[in-house]
Amino acid sequence: MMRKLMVSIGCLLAAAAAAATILAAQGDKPMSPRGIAATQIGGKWVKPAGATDYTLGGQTYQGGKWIEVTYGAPLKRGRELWGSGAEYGKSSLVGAPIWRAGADVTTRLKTELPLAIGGKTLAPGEYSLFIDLKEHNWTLVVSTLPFQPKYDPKEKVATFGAYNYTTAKDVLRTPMKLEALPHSIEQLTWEFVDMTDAGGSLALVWGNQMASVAFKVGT
Amino acid sequence: MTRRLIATSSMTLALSAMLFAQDGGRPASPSGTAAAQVGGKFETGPEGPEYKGGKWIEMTFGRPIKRGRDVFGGTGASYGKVANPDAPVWRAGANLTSQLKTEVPLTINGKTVAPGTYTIFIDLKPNNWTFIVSNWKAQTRYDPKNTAEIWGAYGYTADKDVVRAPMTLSTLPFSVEEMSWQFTDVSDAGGKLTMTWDKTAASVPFKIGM
Repeated sequence: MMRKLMVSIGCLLAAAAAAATILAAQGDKPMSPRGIAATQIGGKWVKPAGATDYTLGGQTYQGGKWIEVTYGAPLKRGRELWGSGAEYGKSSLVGAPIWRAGADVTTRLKTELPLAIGGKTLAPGEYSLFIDLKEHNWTLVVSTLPFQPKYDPKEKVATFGAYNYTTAKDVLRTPMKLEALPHSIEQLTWEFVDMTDAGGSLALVWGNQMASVAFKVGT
Repeated sequence: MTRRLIATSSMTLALSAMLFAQDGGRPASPSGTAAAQVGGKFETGPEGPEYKGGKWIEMTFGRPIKRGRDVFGGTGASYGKVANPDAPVWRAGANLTSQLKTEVPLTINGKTVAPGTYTIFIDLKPNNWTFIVSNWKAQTRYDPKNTAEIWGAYGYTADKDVVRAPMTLSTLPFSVEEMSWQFTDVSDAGGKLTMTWDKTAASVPFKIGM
């Protein structure tokens, strides 16, 4: 009985939390599904003795370190994404001081390696990512502000999306390279591009545009 | 009891998801989704415009990572063998079978794909890729004894094909590390399903409706 009650309460709590997370939901599907970008570098392709694997030549990739970005992936749904002039970027900010560079939740970067970005070093760890949107001039912001995995309107310090963002915990700010894509991407996507073991670029693609920042592995 | 059962089933699920994991617990090819929603309208809501009445089209797939390999390299008989070493066609992803779920009828290469869930494959030939929509059902976890459903593209046969369509191949000015499906150039009339990996983009157009 007691356990059943606790389970029920647990379910209610979980349901309430889920409802808060899918703030912009319709039916039971979030309007902006979750996305993850992952890359793994510094490992070696090896053929382990006696092991089977389903890649060519029975090789597995061992010893690599992960870099990951998790985010909410909004859909374009026919909208003009950025606008122009004084209105530029306003529809993406939805009242926040900076763009969450995603939807709903705060965009998070997790790295198992030190990364050099814009002349500064990010130690292995977890960070929040934001983008300062100016027409033709985007700035990637890496921050150690605390974040909320679920939205609590009473929380005044930790970010949800970019709400509660301040510059107080900025680790670095660096300009992003903006370039046109050959097609229009419907769903915002973070991607790792031009990767080698020495580094690569972290890119956000949405609509006809790619915005990217180069990084190197190491300090 | 129920709780234990739930805990046990989640563990089993986790274990099967990590089937091809390495370096401790994390799948080497994370899972991914791509979604589009069409036919809805923006209405004024309490917190701004809300998109109402749209229908979803979704792809789910495993996302292999390039990790320094020439993924679509090779010539002649060895073409495509990095992406697809040993299955009849490419699963166009990693691990599990790629799936397309649509709430609206789609027209692809002149044929109607009714609302429902389908499996997706690509036949990889040099400069000649074919997009395949199939009625093969996908296994949710790998079971070599299950011949009624398939895992990845192992055991794929063409008899359940719904439609085959040529893909348009183009070269990107950058290399995408993690394979991805994207909905591109989407409007309420249709769009494209585009696979990007390394410098290759391969797309197939679809129309909404029959």
